[in-house]
Amino acid sequence: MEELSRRGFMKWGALATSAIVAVPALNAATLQSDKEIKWDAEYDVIVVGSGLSAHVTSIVTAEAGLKTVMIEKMSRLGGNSIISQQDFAVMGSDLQAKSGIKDSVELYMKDFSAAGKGYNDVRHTRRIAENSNRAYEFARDRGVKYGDKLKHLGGHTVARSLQTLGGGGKAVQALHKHYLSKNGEVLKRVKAEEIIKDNAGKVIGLMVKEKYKFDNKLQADDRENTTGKVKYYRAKKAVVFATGGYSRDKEFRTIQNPTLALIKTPSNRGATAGALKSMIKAGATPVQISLTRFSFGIPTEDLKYSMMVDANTAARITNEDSNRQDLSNIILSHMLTTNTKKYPVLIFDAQGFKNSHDPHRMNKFLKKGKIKQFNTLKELATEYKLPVDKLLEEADTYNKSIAAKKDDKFKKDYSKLNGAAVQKAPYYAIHAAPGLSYTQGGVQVTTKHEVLNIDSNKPIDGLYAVGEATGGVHGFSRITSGSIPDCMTSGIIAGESIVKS
Amino acid sequence: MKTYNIPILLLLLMGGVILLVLNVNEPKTYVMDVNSNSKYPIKSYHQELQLECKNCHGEGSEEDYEELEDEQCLTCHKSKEYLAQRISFMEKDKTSPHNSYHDGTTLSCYECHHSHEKSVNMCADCHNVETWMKPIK
Amino acid sequence: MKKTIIIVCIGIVIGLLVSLGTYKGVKETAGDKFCILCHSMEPMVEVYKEDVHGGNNALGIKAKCVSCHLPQDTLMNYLYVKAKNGAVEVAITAFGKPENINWYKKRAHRKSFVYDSGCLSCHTNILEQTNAENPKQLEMHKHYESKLLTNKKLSCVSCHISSGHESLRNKLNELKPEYKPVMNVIDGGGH
Repeated sequence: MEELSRRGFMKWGALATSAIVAVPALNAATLQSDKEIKWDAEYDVIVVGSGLSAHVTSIVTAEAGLKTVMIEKMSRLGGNSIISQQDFAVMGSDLQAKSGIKDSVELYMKDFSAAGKGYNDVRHTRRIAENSNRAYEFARDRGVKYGDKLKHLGGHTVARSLQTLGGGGKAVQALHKHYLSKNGEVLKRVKAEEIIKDNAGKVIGLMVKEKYKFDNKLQADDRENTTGKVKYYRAKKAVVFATGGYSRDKEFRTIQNPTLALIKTPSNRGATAGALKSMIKAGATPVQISLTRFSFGIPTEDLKYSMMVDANTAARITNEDSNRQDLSNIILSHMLTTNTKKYPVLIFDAQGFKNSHDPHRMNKFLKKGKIKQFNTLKELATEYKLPVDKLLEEADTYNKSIAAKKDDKFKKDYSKLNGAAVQKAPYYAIHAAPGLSYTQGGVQVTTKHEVLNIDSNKPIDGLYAVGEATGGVHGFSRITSGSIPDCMTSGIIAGESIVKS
Repeated sequence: MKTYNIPILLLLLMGGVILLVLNVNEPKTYVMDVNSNSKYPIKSYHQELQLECKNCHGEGSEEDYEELEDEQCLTCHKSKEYLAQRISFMEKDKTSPHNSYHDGTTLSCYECHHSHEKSVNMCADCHNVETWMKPIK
Repeated sequence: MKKTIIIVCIGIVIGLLVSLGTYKGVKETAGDKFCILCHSMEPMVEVYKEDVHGGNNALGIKAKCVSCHLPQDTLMNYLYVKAKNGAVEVAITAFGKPENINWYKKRAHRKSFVYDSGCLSCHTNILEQTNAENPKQLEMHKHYESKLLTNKKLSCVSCHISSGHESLRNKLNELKPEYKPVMNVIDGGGH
């Protein structure tokens, strides 16, 4: 180092400078001083998304007099919320009081955590439990209509789930009407592309694309879509990401878990990972991105009454006495390893079908053709294109092992079967097609729903996330009717935090 | 009757028939001969009305034409509520696309209807609509 | 001479009776009560009563069936179409199966049984209007006018599809539903 030439000094200096600049650049999407940007529109609060969480957050800030705008990238508002049934688990509702049902925060949390298997952040589980009733009254007072009978759904120790009349469609429509009455603004076909921060790292706005046209034919719309005009929106108080999940982003979900290339999803077209990526690029902490919650049709308790066979070999795959989550994982990895796109077939015989815990649902499926009825196994095999001989052989082996009370292959506990086998006609069959409509993963947030920075583990000033966009709230699996209380309580709390800040 | 009355009667009759023929205004069958622009063809139901580009896109040069907003479609098609009312018979089974279970009357015209290319039934994205609706035109 | 006068007088009397009879005949069969004698017209009548043209307006003014469904331009035309339609309709009702008529398909041919002269006999100034709440109205009526003298005439009902019978499709569906929906469950979707 004796003779540092001028050139050498410049070289080292340049390298050092670029290193100093590069590190913070990794933590921020764009570093701009807000004097450089010419803002096309100014708001107090920008909420990205237009589903349930977005509406609740926007209503809270709009009611407090803050100039709020909801921006939705699609031409259709409501995301998955308008498609969902919106069963709503509430602790301590007036309906529970009327029916004399005793519930508690601890019991509610216990049920949620049983589904979460410890992957859930109990601070958030508590947040949901303690605020669920407040959220119910909030929605009810603003036009959402609920049924007067509670549902006792799977995984809940007591009946606590409210029925939303008209489903998510009517609920979001009611909230939307209320939001507009409070001078709330909403913009369709505006996509949030990049989070903009000032030199101090505070989120001050968004780079958006107006007149965005989502293209369903693209494999990765977030990356490949070139429509829209770039504009800059100022957010004087906060930006809230209520952008839902990414169940319909085949590329992203397959990166997290290759078996997810095989699932079907009823989710809306806009459920992609673009918003999550924007938050991560702005320094957010991703949590549990590979966790997914499967839907299955057949009630979990009834799965054990069936025999599940591979679509190509008609051989049994696994112990059918399992929960939806585990069974779905096994099905998908089985399909991946056997290199098939065909879903296994679940077969019930007359007794198995009769044993169902929810005969109403099973009969509804039968009427709608989801479950098919057959007089012989041969007919069943033909319909599902299973090799007939192999199916009959497998059924025979299965029946024999039930009679011998021993499942050599998969160690199923036959004492639970209550007479179910594959013996008595008529036979019923359904494709075991795991459906994916919810992604538990997302960004890490505080109990005030501030997004935490991955380096400092401190809130990114001015950035919030609510609803399905957050991660670590539900854990391994999400309890049924557990999303609505999460969406609503997160929206209310985030909104209140923003108003107070 | 005198013999010359018969030709007079016949003449009167002929006169009457000629008058009738001249006055009859039979509706003709129309020959649809609209010059269809191959790059931006329009649907048959708009062709029947012999609409021209400017009727939807306004005065101005063709290069400046933009996609229409819903409000522009509604200058002829009245309102989303009216469109829902016209097929209110579908609401009984909750199958009306113009007042749907999920969206009410809030959908954008473009979710399904495209003027210059094939229309797409959005409901068919998730549902099997064969028994609920005719194919969209 | 006397004979001629008597023949002429008898002729005049017969002529008067015949024309009175014809006049009465035409008038009675022009009344709504006559048109609705046919059972197949029930749905049309029901929605007509709710329509602004059927009296459902502030003044209670009604357009008669024949005002729109028979030409109002010349008497000869009116009588000719009236006689022709009358004969055909009576024949179908008496000898055919009117309950099998596909009214949905018929509505596609509305231009042939709803006459512009009918509309214009009440809406006399509609084409000359220069002010309208919806400027599109003026544009489209000019468009209509421009096609009048061509062989590609438009009709009022080309656009004003349900005038007079608003909601007819809904009413027809009560009797002969177009669809028999089988609702299906989505679980798992298809993507």
